[in-house]
Amino acid sequence: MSPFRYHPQVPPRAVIDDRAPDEQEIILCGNPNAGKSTIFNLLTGGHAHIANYPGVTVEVKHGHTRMDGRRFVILDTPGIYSLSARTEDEIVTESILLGHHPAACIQVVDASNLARDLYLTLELLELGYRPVLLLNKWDLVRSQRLDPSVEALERSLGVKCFAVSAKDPHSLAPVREFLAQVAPDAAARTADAAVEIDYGPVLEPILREAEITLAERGGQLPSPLRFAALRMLTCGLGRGPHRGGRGRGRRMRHGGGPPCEECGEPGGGWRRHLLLKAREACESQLGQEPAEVAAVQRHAYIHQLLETAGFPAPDTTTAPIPRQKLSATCACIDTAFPSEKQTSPPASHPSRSDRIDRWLLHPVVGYLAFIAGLWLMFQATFTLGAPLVNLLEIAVSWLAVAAKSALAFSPFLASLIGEGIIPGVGLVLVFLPNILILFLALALLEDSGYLSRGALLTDGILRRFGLSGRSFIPMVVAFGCNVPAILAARTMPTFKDRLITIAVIPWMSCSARLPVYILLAGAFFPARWGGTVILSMYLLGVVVAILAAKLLRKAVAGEVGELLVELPDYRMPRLVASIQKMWSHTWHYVHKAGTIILLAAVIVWFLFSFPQTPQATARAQLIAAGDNPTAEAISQAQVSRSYAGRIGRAVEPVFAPMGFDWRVAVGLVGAAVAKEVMVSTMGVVYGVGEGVDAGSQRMVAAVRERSGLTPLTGLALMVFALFYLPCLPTLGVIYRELQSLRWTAAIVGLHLATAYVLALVVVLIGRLMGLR
Amino acid sequence: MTPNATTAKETESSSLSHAPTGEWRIVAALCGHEGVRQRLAELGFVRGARVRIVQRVAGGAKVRLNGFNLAMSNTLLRQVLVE
Repeated sequence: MSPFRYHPQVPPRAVIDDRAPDEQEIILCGNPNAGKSTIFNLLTGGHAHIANYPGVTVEVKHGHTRMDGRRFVILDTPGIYSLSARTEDEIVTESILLGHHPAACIQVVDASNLARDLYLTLELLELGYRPVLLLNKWDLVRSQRLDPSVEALERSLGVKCFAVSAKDPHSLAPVREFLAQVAPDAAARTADAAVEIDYGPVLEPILREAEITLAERGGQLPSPLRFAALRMLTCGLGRGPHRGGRGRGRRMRHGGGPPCEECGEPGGGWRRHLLLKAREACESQLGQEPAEVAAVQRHAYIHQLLETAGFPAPDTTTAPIPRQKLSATCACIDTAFPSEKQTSPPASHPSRSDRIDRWLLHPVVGYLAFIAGLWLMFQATFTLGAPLVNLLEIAVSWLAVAAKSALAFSPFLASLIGEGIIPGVGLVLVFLPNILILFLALALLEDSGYLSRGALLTDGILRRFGLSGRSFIPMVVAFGCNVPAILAARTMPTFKDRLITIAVIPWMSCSARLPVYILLAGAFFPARWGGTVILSMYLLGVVVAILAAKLLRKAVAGEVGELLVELPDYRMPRLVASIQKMWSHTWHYVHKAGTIILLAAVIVWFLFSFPQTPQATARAQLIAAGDNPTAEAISQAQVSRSYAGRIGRAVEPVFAPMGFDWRVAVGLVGAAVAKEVMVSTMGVVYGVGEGVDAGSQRMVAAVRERSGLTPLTGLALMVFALFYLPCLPTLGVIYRELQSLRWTAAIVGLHLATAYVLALVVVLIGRLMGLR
Repeated sequence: MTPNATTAKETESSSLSHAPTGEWRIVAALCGHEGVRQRLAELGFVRGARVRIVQRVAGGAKVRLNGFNLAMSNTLLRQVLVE
């Protein structure tokens, strides 16, 4: 069994599907916040192809570029801090690094944060790579009036380094020149490690033993022996980051195989034996696990390396401070000799970000600012987006009508395209303005550095309810549309966190539910109550979601993944970069969701159109039955005979206690596929026609007078519609994210049960109060 | 307070969550779940590293270590032993 965790869905070699034969591959890696995306955009001109692997929640993108006439494809990997390969980001990057043989490997390093970023560099070197380091944010280093030497770093590390600044695209020219001169058969990676770190007297002997054993029994390894041996000793015994489902999780299996010859442990094998030996030695002699010991040694190596190269140790200053400035600045610097290296205690000048955080993380002002920011974001999303949404709605219905008349020669085609496919595509497009604005706002917030502050602010509160601060972004996005919100939940570190967040996200009322609320509120409540009723639906969704998360946490019995995120320095977000991010996320959503939504629309169309009952037949049947063949009665009869109608009538008894009849049930069936469909379905069922919207008077009147619903049951219907099921696209994306039929079914069950119980409670309370 | 008493107080190990805001501390050890310990160690929480609580919020804090800032929840802060 390999000590390497390969991502099963990212085939190591086939990630780039549009590669020309003479194109050489360059892998780009680095920490999050190092400026990797900006460098990627600068090198590739911003045209990225996003790999769309089912089940991979992490983005893998590549772009093409030419340097001096030579063609390259640059493969961007997820931002990671290390290759410990526990989170999906790390596993994907490791899969790529181990599976590819690129001509060059570029690591983007934050030059103002070298002590941390070089950790990944060391692992790359141990893996056999000779990365090219781009020391990004060099302008920051220069502005601190420090004078570190790039050449010295090159000598110490043994790799090529370039000082660049993403703000100055010209600084990349030397990099391009260098890459253009890379040999056509160059390989960034060899079978030998480029560095050997001493892991200390406790771990080293066991490490050597592991190397020998691996050489004998390990078989073909994709990495240098030492790296594989170290990985074997430092990986956890527990499961991988993905759990759930039957055996879908990637487990590090140590079992299987003959008993170990040394200790006789049955079925454990030699790997397990070595791992336990390492753990025991490290714990007893150092009080740490092997992984910690390795980290300690690597950090010591880095510090020494930086010292040799003349880079300042972080949080200290080695720059000469003019004597007269000493007393004016920091009283904590206790040496009188400016040329002497200061190492303790470190200077604690509050940086600009620290000063801003005094307000934005303030217990009162911080939260007010946060809420104001959220409110502003929603206002912008819905208000700015509204005119465009209306325009798109008009365009879509015009197109549908045009298609129907153009295809009049084939009623089937006309119906399929005009009533199924075009409205289906319209469903995706119509909400696009809202989603674009929401994503742009989020991209700006993320690029400015505020988003992680938001996570910190909300973490304390959400934690009490079984969610973590990282859930707040998906929850915010969910108010626009649930589908990208589910996709956004991928940032959660543990499976259980993701599971709970995903389970409750659909209860954040998405924009598709708004028409239903508007219709029902308008039909059953006086105008002045309308807004309040709708707002209370939103609030109800949030409240129930949070309470449910708490209960689910107890049921699922896991600890909330602890919050550990970087708080990058505040910076002015660059509009271009944010727009690119917004575009990439939106396209991702359209691509992933679009197909399912289209499918959903076709399904709805099918359910309602077949079996077909021509108008004449319906009319005849009505007359034969002695009923009045009004337009409404005819269309009702047609719906009743369709599959949707049959399903509606079949489930009618279930809804009897709440006063919903089969026609309401049919609407719910339609809305189970796509929420947007509910209003138009009700329009058909009550004979008002299809193209009406929720605000039309005829529609409102029809619902009020002919649906058989009362204000109480109308309210119950709103509650039910809110909770009962995520729409089919959301359900599809949930299934893909969780990769487990079992959990998806559990979520469906949870939603149905909650909806039923709550709607029933509403009706019962109302009846107790004497309402009908 | 006599200098000796102060020194004695400073060298006893306690968790980062009890450290006074704004003062530098030295990391002594990590406790808790193994995956988290590895993650913390890789970020720089190793014996001898300097760490400081910059600002506290409800449920967590902004922490400075190794030249950058981290947001950490209180539970994690309790898992870092400092002196």
